[in-house]
Amino acid sequence: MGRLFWALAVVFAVASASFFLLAALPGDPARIVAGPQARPADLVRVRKDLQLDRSIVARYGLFLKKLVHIAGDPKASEHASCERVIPLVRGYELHIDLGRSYQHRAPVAKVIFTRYPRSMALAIAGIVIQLLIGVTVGSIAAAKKGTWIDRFLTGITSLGVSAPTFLTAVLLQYLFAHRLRWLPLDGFGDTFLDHVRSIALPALTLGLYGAAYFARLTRDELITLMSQDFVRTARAKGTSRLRAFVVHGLRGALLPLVTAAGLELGSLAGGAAVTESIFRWPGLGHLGVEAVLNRDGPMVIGVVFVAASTVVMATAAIDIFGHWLHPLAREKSSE
Amino acid sequence: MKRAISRVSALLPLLLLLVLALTAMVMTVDDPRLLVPERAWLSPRQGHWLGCADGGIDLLSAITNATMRALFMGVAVALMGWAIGTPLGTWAAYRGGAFERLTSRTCDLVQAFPTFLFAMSVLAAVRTPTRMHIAFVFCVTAWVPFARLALAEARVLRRASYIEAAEALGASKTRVLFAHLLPGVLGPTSVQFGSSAAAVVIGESALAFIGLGPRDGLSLGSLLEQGLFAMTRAPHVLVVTVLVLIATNAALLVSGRAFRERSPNPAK
Repeated sequence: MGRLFWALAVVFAVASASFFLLAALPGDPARIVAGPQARPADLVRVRKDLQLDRSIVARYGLFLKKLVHIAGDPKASEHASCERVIPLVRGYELHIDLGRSYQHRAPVAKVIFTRYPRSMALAIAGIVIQLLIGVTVGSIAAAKKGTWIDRFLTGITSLGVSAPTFLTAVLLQYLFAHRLRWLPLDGFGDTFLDHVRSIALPALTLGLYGAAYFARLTRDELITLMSQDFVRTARAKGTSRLRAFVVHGLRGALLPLVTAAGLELGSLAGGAAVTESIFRWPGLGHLGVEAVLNRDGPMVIGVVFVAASTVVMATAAIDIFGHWLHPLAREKSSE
Repeated sequence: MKRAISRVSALLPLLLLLVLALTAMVMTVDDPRLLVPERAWLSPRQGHWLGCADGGIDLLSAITNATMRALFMGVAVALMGWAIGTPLGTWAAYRGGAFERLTSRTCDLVQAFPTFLFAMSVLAAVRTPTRMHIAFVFCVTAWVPFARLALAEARVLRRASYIEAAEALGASKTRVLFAHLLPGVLGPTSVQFGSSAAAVVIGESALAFIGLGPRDGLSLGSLLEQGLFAMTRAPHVLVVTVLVLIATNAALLVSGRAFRERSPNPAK
């Protein structure tokens, strides 16, 4: 319970921090909305529309009040930029309001909620590839501990960490999209099959980058676990080496792997900004980069807020459910 | 003795890289910013050992300058993060209570913040970003991993019997913190050094890659972007930059192992 309270407190702090950060940066939002050749009278009107004529404290209060609120009459004009979250009793609804985007001319919350599932899909695909490569490589390295195979695999994976995602991304684009023409260069596609084909390269980029971490984690966990008494007992009772490895070793490594994967999922779902931008994957990260470059203030606040909240919620979820996943976790953490 | 050798050998790639870059910087007299349009995208030849890039800048001279600047910024930011994060984390763990929780939650907050978007919005707001701006942005987040490690390490150490002994002998809190606790934490947190510096090098080149780098263009990211642009005309630019970027990053990551200890943990 305390953990959940802290998570909410951090989310609140993130919202405030992003609001003040953006307010502190130079640049006049009214001029961005009205355009560079707007007349002074128009500027004044836009400034009034955006409530920029009020003090920063007043705007902050308004921002917080609107952020999450309960609406009695959802059709009212003041709820034009709201996204309905949960319908409550008797026509009351829980709303999230992040303002209107200057660039998209649409409610920020609406744009973000259409982009969010796509980032989540990419994050999940990336994590699956990371785990597939990482656990396989880590298990082989642990099984061949100390041999040249171990050293070779460890070397290769550390090379994977050294190659930044934007490098892997363009090399994959060159090979699979430009040379072989197997997969689309970038974009999102129109049909489901297109989506799957489009997600392959960005997911592989994220997968190759993070795989090294999971490989090292799996290897170290397995080596520690395999030298423990319960595995030796199992082996002495005639369990095959493979069975001991999979049943006793990998199962024990499950908790650290899931913990790491959950944290990674949180940060990827919050937007793999660089990867999404290179592949023009229309997710949260791409949206954020665009918003920054277009100086779309409300959108930047919205993306930062949603991305940070995802990380915080993922961390809290792992803290809360980690113990449930593995009954030995409490003993292990006191080691 | 064997351990000492393996520690020094972890620093070898970084030293090798530094020596190579410095030699190249001394050997090439070319100004890395000198534009000579008629030799744009020249392939490697005598006098220009790595060829030339966009606008005819000498690639060897440009890439060594970019690497040295990136390395310097990475190490400087990591040092800064270490110098701020470690004492803060140690102090928080020693004081305990609300201050410890606050520090730990602040770490959560900063880590939850999407760093890349933050860096982008600051750099997009500044009209002409310089290296100081970029380094500053990375410093805002660099202290967090150090503070986290220090918190974890000092939580264990503060129950050690030598700390108890120092307190029983009447040492002041400040003395215990600086003379007894902090020295024990400085070592373990320095493991983070290599990966922090590497993260800065990557972050800086990623920013330069999307066009938010320093104005002089002396960044591995801008060179990489040039290389991609001229991939078919002058593939040497891409190949050289990719290799140097990976080598720099790997050297920094490996150098972190020089600080790894066998963890003589008195609390156990």
